[in-house]
Amino acid sequence: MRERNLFKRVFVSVLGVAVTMLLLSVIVFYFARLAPGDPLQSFYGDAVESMTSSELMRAKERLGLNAPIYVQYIKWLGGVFHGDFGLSLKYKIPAMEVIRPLIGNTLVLGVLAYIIIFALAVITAVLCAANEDTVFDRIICKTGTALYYIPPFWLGVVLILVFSINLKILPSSGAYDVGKAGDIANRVSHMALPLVVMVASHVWYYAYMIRNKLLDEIRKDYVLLAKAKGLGKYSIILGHCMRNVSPAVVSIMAISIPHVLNGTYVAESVFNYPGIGSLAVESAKYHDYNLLMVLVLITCVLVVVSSIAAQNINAVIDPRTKEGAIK
Amino acid sequence: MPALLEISDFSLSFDTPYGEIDAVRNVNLKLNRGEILSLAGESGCGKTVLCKSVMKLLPKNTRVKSGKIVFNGTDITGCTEKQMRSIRGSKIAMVFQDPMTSLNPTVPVGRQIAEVCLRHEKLSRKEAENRAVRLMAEAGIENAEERFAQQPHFFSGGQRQRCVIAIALAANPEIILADEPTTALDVTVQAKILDLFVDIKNKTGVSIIFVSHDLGVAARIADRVSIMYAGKIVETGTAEEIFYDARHPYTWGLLSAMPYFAQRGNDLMSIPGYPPVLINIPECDAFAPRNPNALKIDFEQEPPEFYVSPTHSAATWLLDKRAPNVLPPDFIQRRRNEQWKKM
Repeated sequence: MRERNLFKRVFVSVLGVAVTMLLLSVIVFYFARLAPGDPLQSFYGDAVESMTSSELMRAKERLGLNAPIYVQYIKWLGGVFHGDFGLSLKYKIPAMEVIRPLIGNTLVLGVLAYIIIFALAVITAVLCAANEDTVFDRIICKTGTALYYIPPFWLGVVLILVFSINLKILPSSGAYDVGKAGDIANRVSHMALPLVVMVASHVWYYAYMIRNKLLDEIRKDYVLLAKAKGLGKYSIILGHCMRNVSPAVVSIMAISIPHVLNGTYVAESVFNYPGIGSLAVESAKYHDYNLLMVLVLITCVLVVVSSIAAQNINAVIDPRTKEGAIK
Repeated sequence: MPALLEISDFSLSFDTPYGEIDAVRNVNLKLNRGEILSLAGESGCGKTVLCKSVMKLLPKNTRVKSGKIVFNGTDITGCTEKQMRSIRGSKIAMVFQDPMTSLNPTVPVGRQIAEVCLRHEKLSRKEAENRAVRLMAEAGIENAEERFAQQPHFFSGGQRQRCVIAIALAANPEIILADEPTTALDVTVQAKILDLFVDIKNKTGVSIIFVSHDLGVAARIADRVSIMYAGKIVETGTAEEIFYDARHPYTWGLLSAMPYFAQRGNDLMSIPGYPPVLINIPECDAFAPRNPNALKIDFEQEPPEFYVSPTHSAATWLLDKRAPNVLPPDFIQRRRNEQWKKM
């Protein structure tokens, strides 16, 4: 019985992901083509300007860009089911081939940033909540807010100026030095500055959210009872409050995945870090439709899968949130 | 034998933007070993604050203005937070009013009980869990072993309060402060929980301060009763003395307001007005404005404590030698006479 339920739940989840992706692909496909600009420009470069109109027509036809949008979409969808995501207009090779060497870089950067951001956010939040309204809490709050409002691209440039140009201790761009692709230390030194930028621009947003959740929680009756049991404030916060706040934290973590991913885009552009972030920005800029679609779908899968994961994790932490828990 | 807990001349106030709130004023209170002391009075007269000040669980804007709280020979008002943490739960435990909110909703009940044993005694996790199961059973939860791992939302209100009581008992405290533990429960469950408290007292010899605004509840279980009004204790006595021979007009009012006496379709009597706001209380009897029998001196000077018997004292000018002879309400006189006849 239980196994059948599990099977059903997995099936429903997968179906949900599929439907979401389908809808999203329709919308993005359509809107990308509405944006003003010429995709031929990215394919042929400046040569477009010297092409005759009949040449342009032929070029469009060859790239499949002259058919009505819904026909283009159906064609594209048919290709997707065969694992063909189309040609990147800018790089003139299959979109998947463009992404393959770069996605690893972004994932490493993104996942590391994600872990550091949330570890730091939780630690800061707990310390602030435990020392509510003390000088410590106030200083952290003020600095955090200031940090949050520093534009990440500006911070990136300043960091490059200080650490790469003046102090010369950290490289300013790239993912690794030539010929050192396997050298972990080298890779880490290249990631240090982008990570600092991403953490600095995200951490307070989440720390503040968790801090306020914790403060709400600390005012509840059960905390008084826990105090009356003789527990100290950190064991109350970590053993009781964090547990109650964690469903919210898990949800926030799930929603924040695209947010952090977005952060990698900025960091990648500033530090010229070869990843899919800068690729995504480029693909939108150059009307590289097929590349854009792949990137959007990857992001979509990440978001939907993480929110399903969050739901299931929450059901384990707090059974009251389980689907169908109330009978 | 010295009292287990002795509060003497204890005053406490809260600093607020509106002024200083004198929540507890010159309270003297004794709790002997193995007795149930009931602290009764209207809402907002300082019962809960008094309990929490014994546990030092009050917010930061609290100021102790005078007095001592001596527990087992040590003055609690001078204890550091660290010392308090080892007293809370192990020596003095507390049961709160609303069992629906005083348990953590996501932590299994058994673990919330075992936590106390782990905190205060050198037990292994397994031993603590066994103790928790035994405590749950003692507190009247059936199938304790099965229910150990369940979260609070699997329990009814009464059962949850039993769990909170099990938490209070977990480290064999010497005092349990029960802050209106039956107020949030329905009447049939109330009676059972009250019986449980008496049971616990008889079995373990623990002393209990039982806060309640319901004198009926107090009558059922208390050995001694203290009546509180506007942050002061206005009358203290054994349960019999308070119920059959009350001397303070406020106690008369509380007794008349018990629905038991509203017989033959008469309206239920209530004390007119509200308790005073505890900011800038004038130097007079705080109950005077609501007291139909108030004397002139009640508005001018605060009454001292007069002793009716070694165990019975009341703070009212009516007990002064010069006071006119004001008789208590009829039903109290009747009850007193009946009681005397029995004796």
